[in-house]
Amino acid sequence: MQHSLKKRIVLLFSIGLFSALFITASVFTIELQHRYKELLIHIGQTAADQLSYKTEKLIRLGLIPEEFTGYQKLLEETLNPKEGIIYVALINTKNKAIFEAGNRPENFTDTEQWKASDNHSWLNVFSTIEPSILSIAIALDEDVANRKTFNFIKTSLIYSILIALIVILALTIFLNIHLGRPVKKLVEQIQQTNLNNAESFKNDTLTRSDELGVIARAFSELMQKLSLSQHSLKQSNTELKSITEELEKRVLERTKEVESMNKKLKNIAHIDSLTGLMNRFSFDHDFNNRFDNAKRHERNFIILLADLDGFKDVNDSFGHAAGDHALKIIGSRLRTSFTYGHSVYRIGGDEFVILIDENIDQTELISLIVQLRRLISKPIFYEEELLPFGVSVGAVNSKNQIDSNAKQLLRHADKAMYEAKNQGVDYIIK
Amino acid sequence: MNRLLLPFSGLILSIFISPASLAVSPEPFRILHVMSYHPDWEWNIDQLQGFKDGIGDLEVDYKIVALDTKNADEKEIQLKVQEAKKTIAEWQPNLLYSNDDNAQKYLAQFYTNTSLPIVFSAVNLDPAEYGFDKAKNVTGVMEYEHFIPTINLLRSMVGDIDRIAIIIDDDPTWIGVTARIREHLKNNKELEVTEWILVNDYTEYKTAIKSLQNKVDAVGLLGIFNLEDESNKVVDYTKVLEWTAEHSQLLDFSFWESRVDSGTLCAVAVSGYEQGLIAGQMARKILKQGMSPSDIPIQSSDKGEPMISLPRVKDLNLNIDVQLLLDNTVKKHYSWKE
Repeated sequence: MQHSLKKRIVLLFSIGLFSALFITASVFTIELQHRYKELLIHIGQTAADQLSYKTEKLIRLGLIPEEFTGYQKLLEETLNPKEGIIYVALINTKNKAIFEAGNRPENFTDTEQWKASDNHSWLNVFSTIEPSILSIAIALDEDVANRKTFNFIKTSLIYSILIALIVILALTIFLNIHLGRPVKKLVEQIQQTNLNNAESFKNDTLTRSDELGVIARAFSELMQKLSLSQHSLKQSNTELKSITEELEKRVLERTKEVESMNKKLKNIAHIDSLTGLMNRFSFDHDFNNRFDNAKRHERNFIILLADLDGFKDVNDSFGHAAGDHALKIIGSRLRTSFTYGHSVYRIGGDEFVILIDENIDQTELISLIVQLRRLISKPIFYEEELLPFGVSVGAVNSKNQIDSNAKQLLRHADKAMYEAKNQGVDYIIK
Repeated sequence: MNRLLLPFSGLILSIFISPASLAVSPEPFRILHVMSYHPDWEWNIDQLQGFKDGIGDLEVDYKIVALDTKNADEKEIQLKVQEAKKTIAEWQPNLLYSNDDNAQKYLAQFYTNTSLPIVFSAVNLDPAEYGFDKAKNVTGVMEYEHFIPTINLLRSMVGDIDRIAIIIDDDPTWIGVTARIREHLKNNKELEVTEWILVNDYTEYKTAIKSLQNKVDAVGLLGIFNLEDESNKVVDYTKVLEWTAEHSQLLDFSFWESRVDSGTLCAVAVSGYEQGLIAGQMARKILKQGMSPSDIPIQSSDKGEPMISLPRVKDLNLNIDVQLLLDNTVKKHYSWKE
């Protein structure tokens, strides 16, 4: 529920107005009742005095009450129930009514009691007629004062409430015109205003000299500041985005460089730089994996350890550069010849290992060893000099050494290779 | 020493010949007041007081000639007239104020179309009777009786009044009065004056009153000033009214306060003061503003004062409403009993 300031003001004003009205009416009622009572007595006394004056005039003309023809009519004309005069009498010293009109109150004959008549709902006024012994007595209905008070208050209240309602209506309209509508318009304008176009905030309230004008101007200034801030922020974002993109680009480049370096490092770590074959580090890693795999899954493999024959003589005869040259050529031949399913490593100066999957038979293994021997034995020239190499190969099937560990398996292969070298054969298969 | 006194003597001289000391205070206006009746009669006193009030703050010297036509005989009247004429010739008044018919009859009518402005009051006869209608130097106030209001007052006291008798003497005043009553009767058909009685002496009056007792409802007592008794002496009107009060049970009325004072039951009285006041205002216009009397229309007084004789009420055993006694002037006693 939306709490309207206008409604609150009108509600507060209405409560205040009606409270004031109620208090005023209450005080006014008491005062008015008192005044009406005084007025009632005054009217009664005036009527009594007038009648007394007339009667005195008749007495001074020499008339006696018995000669007062039509006097009864005078009394009746003096009666005025609307003004509270309910009983009029011409009385003698014995309080006996010579003439009377209206309804005689109780205790009429007892003047003293009549005068002290606070216990009654009527009041009494007297007027003595000089120089006679007659008096005019008038009884007043006190309820008339109450009725008049009530009627007056009722009428006043009706008019006051009507006026109050008109005032409230007028206030509502006034607030609607001067507060409600401008605020609504201001709010709509604020809602429609966006920071991209702060200049679009144009409202009549901007020119107002009251608080709404102050708010509108403050909002307008705020919007302009926010707009400037947003513009500045956008520029910063654009710059940041550009910087980010540049950074990302650089990171990517650096990543590529790192990857390249990593690749190079990996190559350096795993590849033998001379032959281009996988080095001893790669072999240890792959060999252990294959051995573990063979142990767990019974996927056996064949390790084929080859050592060049005559390599030391070449180094000694032609220098290490010739040996390196020969190793480089042999490595190239092995890389291009053993591809699918075979991993070739240079694990030492002139030692090479080929790890072969199990699914080849003895013939295929021998054929493979023969192919290895041919690749190594194939003539290699260094500075037009033929470098003679042979090869001794030890081949071990992991299946046959299943109870061994990796080192023992390699030692078996190494042992087989030395046996072949010692026996002067190309290979020994175990 | 003489040299020292010279400047002071000049100063003293200048004081004595200052413009204020040279101003001549205006001469008071001279007004000759000729009254028809005796000067101590309240009727005349009221008129003269009204006239003086109407004149206002004008400085006026009055000379009064009372013709006393109620009491004086013709010879005495003529002597008074001559005195008035002599005063006019020698004193040369700025204005003549003459009241009641006899003053016009004996004096004012002989000064019409002269340079003497005339203002009259309490005239009953048609002004044309005195040539006032064509006179350029005359204006004044007619005394028109409040006949219908008087009858209405009588009716409010006793109920319906249908048959009325009117008694007049041979004074010419009553010609105009009766003419106006007849005029009123034309417009009030329910009223009827069944008896117009001209009485020549007191005996005839008494006879007339006695004869009317059962013939009419009320009698208007107009002409009762010139009634002579057996010894040819004019009987004072108060005596006439005293006899009437003692011997008549007829409701009687008139138009003057003096009659009610003396026992006539009621009247809506013409006011001597009112007529004098209007005449005084006319005189002021003539004297102060220089207006010609012919430019001031002849008027009549409108206001009448209702009055009742309480002893007469009692003598007639009338039970009149106390409201009437409270609303109207009440005469408590017969003047002839005081």
